[in-house]
Amino acid sequence: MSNEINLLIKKDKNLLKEQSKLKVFRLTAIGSLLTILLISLSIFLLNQKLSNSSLEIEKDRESVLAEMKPFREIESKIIIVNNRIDNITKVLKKRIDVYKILNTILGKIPDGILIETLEFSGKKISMNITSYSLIPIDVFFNDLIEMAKRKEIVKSLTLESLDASSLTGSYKISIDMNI
Amino acid sequence: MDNLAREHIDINTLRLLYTRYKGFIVPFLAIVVVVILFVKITIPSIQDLFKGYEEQKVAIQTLENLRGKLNFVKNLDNSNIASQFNLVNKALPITKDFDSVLNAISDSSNKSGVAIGGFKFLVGSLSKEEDGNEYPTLNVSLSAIGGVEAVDKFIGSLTKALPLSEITKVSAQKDTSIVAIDFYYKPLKKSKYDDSLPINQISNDGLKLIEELSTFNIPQSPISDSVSGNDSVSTPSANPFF
Repeated sequence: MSNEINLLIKKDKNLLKEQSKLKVFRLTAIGSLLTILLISLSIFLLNQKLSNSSLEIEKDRESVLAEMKPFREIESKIIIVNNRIDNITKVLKKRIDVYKILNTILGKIPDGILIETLEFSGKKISMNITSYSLIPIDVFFNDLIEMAKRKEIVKSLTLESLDASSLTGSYKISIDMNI
Repeated sequence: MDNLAREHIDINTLRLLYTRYKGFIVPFLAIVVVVILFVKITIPSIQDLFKGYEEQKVAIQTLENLRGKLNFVKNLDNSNIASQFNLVNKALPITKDFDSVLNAISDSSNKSGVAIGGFKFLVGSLSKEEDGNEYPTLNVSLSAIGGVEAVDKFIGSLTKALPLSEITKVSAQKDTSIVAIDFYYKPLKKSKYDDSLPINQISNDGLKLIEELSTFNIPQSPISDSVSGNDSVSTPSANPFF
C-alpha cells in the first residue's frame, strides 16, 4: 500500500506540525509574560530606589534651607549689590561727564578773555566771550581747532559771530561747539 | 431546507476550528494582554522613571548650589556687605530719593561756595512705576548765584557726589546760572526666588567700582547729623528744606 493513500500517516504529520506550532506559541506567551513581569519588577525596584534617594535629597535640602535661613538677608544684599553694580556701570558709561567737558574747555581759555555766557544742552555748547585783544582769542581758537582735529571733546566748531566795538575797544565772539 | 443546511455547515465549521485551534486561544490572549500592558503601563512607567531621574538630577544640582551658597554666605563679612549695600544704594537708589538729592545739592553748594537761588523738581508720577525707561531720573532745575566758574565748581562737586547725577543743561550768565540735573534711580524688578541659581560673588570690576564710589561724597542729612550728635559743626546750608 502506498504512503500517499495512507491517510493515517498524513494526519500524524500534520498533528505533529501543529503541536510544535502550539508549543512555540505557548513558549512565546510564557516568555512575554515573564519578560513583562521582569520589566515591571525592575521598574518598581528602580522607582523605590529613586523615591528613597529623592526623599533623602529633600531632607538634605530642607536641612540646608533651615541652615540658610539666618543668612537670607546677606544673600539678598549681595544679589542687590550685584544688581546695583551692573546698573551703576551702565549709568556711568552712558552719562556725559559735563564737568570734564567744561573744565577742559574753560582750561583752554587764556587770560584776557571774559566769558559772558555759556550754554550747554544735549551735545552742544554755545559761548559768548569778550576780549580787548585778538591775541588771546587767537590762542583760544587755535586750541579749540586742535581739539576738534583730534576729536578731543569738541567734534565740530563754528564761529557764529565776531563783533568789534570801536567804542569800548573790545571784541565779542560767539562760538558753537558740537561735542 | 438549504438555509438550515448552511447554518449547520457554519456551526460545524466553527466547532471544527475551535476544536482544532483551542490550544492557541489562551497563549494568544496572553500575548495580547502582554502587548496591551507593555504599551499602556510599561512604556509610560519607563518614561516616568527617566523623568524622575532627570528631576533628581536637577534636585541634586539645586542642593549643590544651596550648599555652595551656604558656604559662600557663611564666609562673608556681614559688615562689609552692609556697607557695600548702603554705598551702592546711595549711588543708585531704588526710588526717588528726595532726601539724598537735596543733601547732594546742599553739600555741593557748600563745598563749591555757590549759593543756590531756588529749586524746581520735575518729579513725575509718584504712584506709577516708571515703564519703558531703563534708567529713570528725578529732574531738578536750580538757579545758582554765580557765573561760569562758579557753576563749573558746583558741577564738579556734584559730579563727585552721590546719588549719581548727570548735568543735562547749563545756562550760565555773568551773575546767575541755571543748571538742570538728572538724578538717577533704578527700581528693583520683582523676581521669583530660585534656589537652583548660584549666587555670584562681587566681581573684581564690581569691587573696583565700589572702591571708586567710596571716594565720592555721600552727603548726610543735617537732621541725621544733629540726631547723631554731629551738630557741633554748623555749616550754612543752601538746602531750603533744612
